[in-house]
Amino acid sequence: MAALPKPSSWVNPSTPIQVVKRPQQLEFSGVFRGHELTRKDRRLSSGLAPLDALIDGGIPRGRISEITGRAGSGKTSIAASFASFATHRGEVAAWLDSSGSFDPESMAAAGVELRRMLWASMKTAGKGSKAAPYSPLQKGEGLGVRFPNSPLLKGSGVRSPIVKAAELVLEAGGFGLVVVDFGEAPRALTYASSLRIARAAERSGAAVIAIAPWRMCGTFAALSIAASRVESSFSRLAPGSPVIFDGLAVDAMVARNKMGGTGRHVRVRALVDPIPVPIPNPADVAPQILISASS
Amino acid sequence: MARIACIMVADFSIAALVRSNPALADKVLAIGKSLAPHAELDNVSVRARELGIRSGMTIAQARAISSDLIVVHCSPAAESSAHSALLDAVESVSPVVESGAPGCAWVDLAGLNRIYNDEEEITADLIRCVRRVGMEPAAGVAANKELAHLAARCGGVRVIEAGREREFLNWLPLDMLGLGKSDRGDDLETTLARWGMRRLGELARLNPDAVGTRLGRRGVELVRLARGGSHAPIVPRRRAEFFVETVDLEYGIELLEPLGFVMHAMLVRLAERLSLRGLVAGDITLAFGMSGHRSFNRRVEVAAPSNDVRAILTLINLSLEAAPPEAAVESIRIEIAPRVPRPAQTDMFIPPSPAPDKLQTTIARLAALCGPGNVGMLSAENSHRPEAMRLDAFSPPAPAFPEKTPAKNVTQLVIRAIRPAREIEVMCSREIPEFVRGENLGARVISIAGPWRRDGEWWLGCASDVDTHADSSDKTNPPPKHGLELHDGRMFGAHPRQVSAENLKALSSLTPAPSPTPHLNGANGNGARSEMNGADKCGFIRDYYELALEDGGVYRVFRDVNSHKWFLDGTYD
Repeated sequence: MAALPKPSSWVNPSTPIQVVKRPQQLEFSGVFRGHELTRKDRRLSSGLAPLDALIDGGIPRGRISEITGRAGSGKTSIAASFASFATHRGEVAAWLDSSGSFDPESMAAAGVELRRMLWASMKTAGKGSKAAPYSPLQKGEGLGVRFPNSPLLKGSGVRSPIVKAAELVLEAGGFGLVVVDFGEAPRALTYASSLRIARAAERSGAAVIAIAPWRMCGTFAALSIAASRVESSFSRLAPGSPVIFDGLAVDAMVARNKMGGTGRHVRVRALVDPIPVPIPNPADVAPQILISASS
Repeated sequence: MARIACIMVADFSIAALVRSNPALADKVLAIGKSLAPHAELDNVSVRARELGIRSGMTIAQARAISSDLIVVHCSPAAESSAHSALLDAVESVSPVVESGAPGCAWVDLAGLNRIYNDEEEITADLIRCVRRVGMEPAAGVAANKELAHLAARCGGVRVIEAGREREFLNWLPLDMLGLGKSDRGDDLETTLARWGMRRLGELARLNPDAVGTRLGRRGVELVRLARGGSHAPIVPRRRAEFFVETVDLEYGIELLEPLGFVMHAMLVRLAERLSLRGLVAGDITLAFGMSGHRSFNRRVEVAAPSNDVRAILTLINLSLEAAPPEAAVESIRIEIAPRVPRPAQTDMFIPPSPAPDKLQTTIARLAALCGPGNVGMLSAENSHRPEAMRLDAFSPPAPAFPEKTPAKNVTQLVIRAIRPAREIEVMCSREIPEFVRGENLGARVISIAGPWRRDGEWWLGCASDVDTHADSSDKTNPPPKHGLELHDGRMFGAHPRQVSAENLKALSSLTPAPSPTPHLNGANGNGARSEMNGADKCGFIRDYYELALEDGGVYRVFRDVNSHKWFLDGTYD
């Protein structure tokens, strides 16, 4: 077995947050080198200071934002932080789960107020797979019927259940955030499906987050954050004590941003038991510019 | 002075049939006692009457006038549904409604002047509501029920103002009343015409005793009616607890698709009735009458009350697809338990939330798309199994003023659960995982944390054992979930992380069978321990690990101690 890594210094970090920024470009009203202009108050923050600084305050409302990354990259944790912030603001959110991987225990630990979170799983929609062993379906709750071939899907062309569900939720209106979790091996969305989601998002004004291993919505995504795991930390509290898993260090890079700022990236820490660390005052600590990436 | 409106649907049997089958609306239609050529017609539609077809003709005579004549059986089911719909419609205007003969209802207008400007406006609203449920009514407003009924019989809308009742009665022609026969069997209208009576008011001048001697009880009633009728109050009916639509089919339906067409029309009518009353559809009960005098009953629970017909029909279809009726369906009865839509008050200074009716409709449609067991508010079940979860109906609390959330610089790591846990193969060296292989997985273990033992539910398995426990409180208060006693008496388990990799060897010796007390949590004596030991076979014991693999992921896996199998439980993402 490989040697266990030493305790990471970032478990209780003393270094300031490293926000990577491009040199500030001059902005004039109505002219911004071809980038889209979006009102700054129509953004949904994540509550994570480094991430919000990276994307100018949050993801845009009424638009699709993608968080991409392979399994274990930390993309779900980033999406959960947006959901946590939205539900704590009193907004109603929806989590559309194509693979049935929503874990309420860790989501609640992440601060998501589950009472304001509508969950819908498309795991059994459109196919005849069995339900999970401890799902309420098997406990006899609900209708007690199987839904292998939902008639709602009939006549809906090639739209997948999750696209249809996203449209339904966005058409209802009033949702502050809709998270569309495409799972770990999604099929590519058609141009028409992406367009439908984008238009529904625009009409409802909800922030839409698409979680997938790769980009799903093409040109209709206003923002795309590529998450990748930098390191996973295992540590001991003392010599001879049990090894514990601390969490991940995630590198979030703006892979696409119609509002500008493509190429910037920041390191975010996702911990199993996060300990709140006071954010250093920007007046005391100057931001450290590491890389100047070009878009 | 009381003001009462009478709402009446002319040719109610025909109107009820047309309501249940709108395709008959403009047809030459008649209701026969039977379909034999010599059978007499009971009722004819307006179109048939225009062609000269009258009630009492035989079918053969009527067909001689019009070959397009459609003769159908009378449908008590359709009439019952139509009458209920009529009452629902008028109840949406006034809460005090008395049910009359089929197709007739009286409405107390007391207090409605605070909502409406005048009685014409009230009757216009009543007619609009009845039209919404698929019938064309006539309305009459007067000081009492009998006068209002007479006014409604005249057709259209007729408001008899207070003090002008005599004028109306003096005008009312007797041939509009459909007097029928007297007690002696004479035709009343002919008899009165022979007496020179053409209008109802003329009867008021006659002596009731003398009329009674000649025409019997019916004659006395006519004189009383001509003198202004009685002032009997309205007897309000109890509001319906269920909304029912029933249809008798001419032919049995074997396939689900045509059955869906019929039920769609029924649901549309039910949804209209519900929306008139400001209600939404809750759980649905289907009752099919089938060939061979068999019956079929099915209860369909609606995840979120809604009046969205498409979503409700989808739920019904899915339920029927799962277990279809075993014979041709000959009659359909749909009963809906109404629900009150969730009220909401919005605020300018708090975040918007979905409108309750739209939210319920959306949930119902999502439930139709994904299944009711897959939509709602998911939360962790109060269980020792980490994968256990509970699904409740989604009903977000009222929006509140946004909390000021302080910015953080670290976030909680979230796990992507794998349900059900996927069995994997783990190669170990001296009980320490070294390589993991499974579906879409195969990598060397780089780092490892654990094992963290979780056990539980051993107190649920054998009810008889639990009952014989010395301390019966164990049944309601299960012991703490973590905890382990080694053979040498050392305790582990106040926190799962107190069981470390260094203790693997000691743990591996604690298989349930040889150990007298593998789980000590709350055990209070040797006797109780031995019983729990037996119940352990019904519970679970798992050793959880967090494994960082060479492929870059960090996974949560567990080993089932009883079966010695490994399972992949989730991915940290």
